[in-house]
Amino acid sequence: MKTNWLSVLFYLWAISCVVSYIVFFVIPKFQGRLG
Amino acid sequence: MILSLVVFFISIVIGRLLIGSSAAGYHNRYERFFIAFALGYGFFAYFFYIIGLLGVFQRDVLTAVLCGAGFVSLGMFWLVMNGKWRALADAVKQLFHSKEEMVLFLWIGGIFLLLIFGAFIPPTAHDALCYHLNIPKRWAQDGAIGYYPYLVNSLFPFLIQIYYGLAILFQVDYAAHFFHLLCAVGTIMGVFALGKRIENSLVGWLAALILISTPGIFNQANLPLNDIALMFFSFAMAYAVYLGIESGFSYRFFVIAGMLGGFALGIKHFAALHMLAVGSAAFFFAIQKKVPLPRVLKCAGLFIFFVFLFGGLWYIRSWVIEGNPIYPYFSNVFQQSGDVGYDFEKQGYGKGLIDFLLLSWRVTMEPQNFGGTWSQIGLVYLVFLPLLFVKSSRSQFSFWGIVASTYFLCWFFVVQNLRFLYFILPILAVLIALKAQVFRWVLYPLLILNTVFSIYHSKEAILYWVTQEKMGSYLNRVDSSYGMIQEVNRLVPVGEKIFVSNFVRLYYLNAEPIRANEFFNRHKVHWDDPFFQEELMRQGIHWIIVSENEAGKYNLNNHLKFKQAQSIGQEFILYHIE
Repeated sequence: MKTNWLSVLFYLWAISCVVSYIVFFVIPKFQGRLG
Repeated sequence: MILSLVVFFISIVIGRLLIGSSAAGYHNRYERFFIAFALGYGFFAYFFYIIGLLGVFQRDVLTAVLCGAGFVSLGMFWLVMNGKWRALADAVKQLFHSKEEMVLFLWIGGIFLLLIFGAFIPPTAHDALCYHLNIPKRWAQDGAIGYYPYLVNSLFPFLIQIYYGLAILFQVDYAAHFFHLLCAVGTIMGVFALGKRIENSLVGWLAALILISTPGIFNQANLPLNDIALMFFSFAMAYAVYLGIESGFSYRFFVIAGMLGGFALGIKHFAALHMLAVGSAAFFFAIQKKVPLPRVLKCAGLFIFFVFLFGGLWYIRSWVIEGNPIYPYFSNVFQQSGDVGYDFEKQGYGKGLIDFLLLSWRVTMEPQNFGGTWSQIGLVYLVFLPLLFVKSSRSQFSFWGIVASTYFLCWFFVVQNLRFLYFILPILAVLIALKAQVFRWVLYPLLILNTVFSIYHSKEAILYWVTQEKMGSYLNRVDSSYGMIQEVNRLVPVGEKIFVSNFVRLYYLNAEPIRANEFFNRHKVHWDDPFFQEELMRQGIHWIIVSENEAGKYNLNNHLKFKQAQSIGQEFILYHIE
């Protein structure tokens, strides 16, 4: 059970990283704001 | 490409000779292959360096050396392999154990194909044009590895640039891309071998893919720079120390590690920090395994001696010529004038606890603040970082864990530039691959994202191939200074010296460049000094190229006695002085 919760936490972490990366890096990069 | 493949082949044979025939201490043949290649590749470059210092960095001599070494290697390869072809076929078969591994191999192959396509386009990377190729070009022109006091980087440790000089000497300068790419190939071999040793070939392939699809690694792997080469030799050095520890502090692995450490120091000064990290892990295990002190001291002594033997020459030469082993850095410490400081604080954030805790997030989300978006490490490392702290029962990770953590701390406190973090990426790639085995459906989308970045980054190379663009027109389009330099090349004869101000992308310039700042520092003169022109003439300099802004600021049209002044491009003036 504990391992499952850890897995859920990991998936949530992974999704939040992906969303943040797209918002903070990928979109500004392709809009040319980061050089 | 052929030139680099010949060197690749010779390096493997030399490396195999250097490591000896004993397979004791190695877990699989891939790690032997990796260590052998790293040793041979470094050794061959070091050999050329010594030849160059003796004043024979000439095409005929190097062709003879390459041909001789090539034929001897071919003969030895035949002698060793004759009758063992089946074993070779088995080794290839053992690379894959499932269709998934085959797909990963093809995926990695696809990424390398993109890199190979990109490697054929002419060099335009900024630092390469400033010094990584510019200085080897001067060696090739002069037929010797000389010292250029007015080119501030000419005493840098330049081991990988020896191969770039070879490429320029054979008039295929883009071959320099392949020589750097070979370092990426070598590192991938090492990463695969480590993954296979720790777990299985799936982990090896996953780790290899994580590493090569890392945007910063991909972006630089086929450019004539030196960060991938440093990662390669330093990782190989760490691997040799790891093998030494695993085989009960065996002396011969510390000799090999010392040689590899010497080669790493021949690439960049920063290799010293890599050795510090690896050394601290080795000492930790020496204490933990209760290894007798004399044995530890002998291992450390052998390591340091061979580091000095195979890496010390760069630093001794710099010390003899300029009185500073790491010239031009820390010249104030060595009581030299003309210090060129390296601003350690120009990248990254602060050194506080909050900065440390936020570091992995920040380097991923804001790579522009850590040396530029082109050197970013991507999302994989951040996503899987928490898993690395989940307790594992495998004790052998702790060596790599200690090396990675120690170096990460050094990096955090010394210089927060992503390029300098590459040393631990192969280690992290293997550790992540191991943990990510059960989360492959998280890992694969992230690797696809990295691959999309790789394809996007290769758009220029793809365009170059699709449109069959000519080299000159490509350079004119991509490098704004190329057209201007061609104009200068038409006007200034090859053997002449040219005083260059506010312009550093000097590779395509045929005349010998004399950089203004170094000249001013050494001769204590400046533009408006009455003895400036006299000093130039005394040094045999008859040409000046300067920006129009600077010429206007110092009123050079009135100050200089010149035969001719001509506008070059839109921003520069070329003076032929008398």
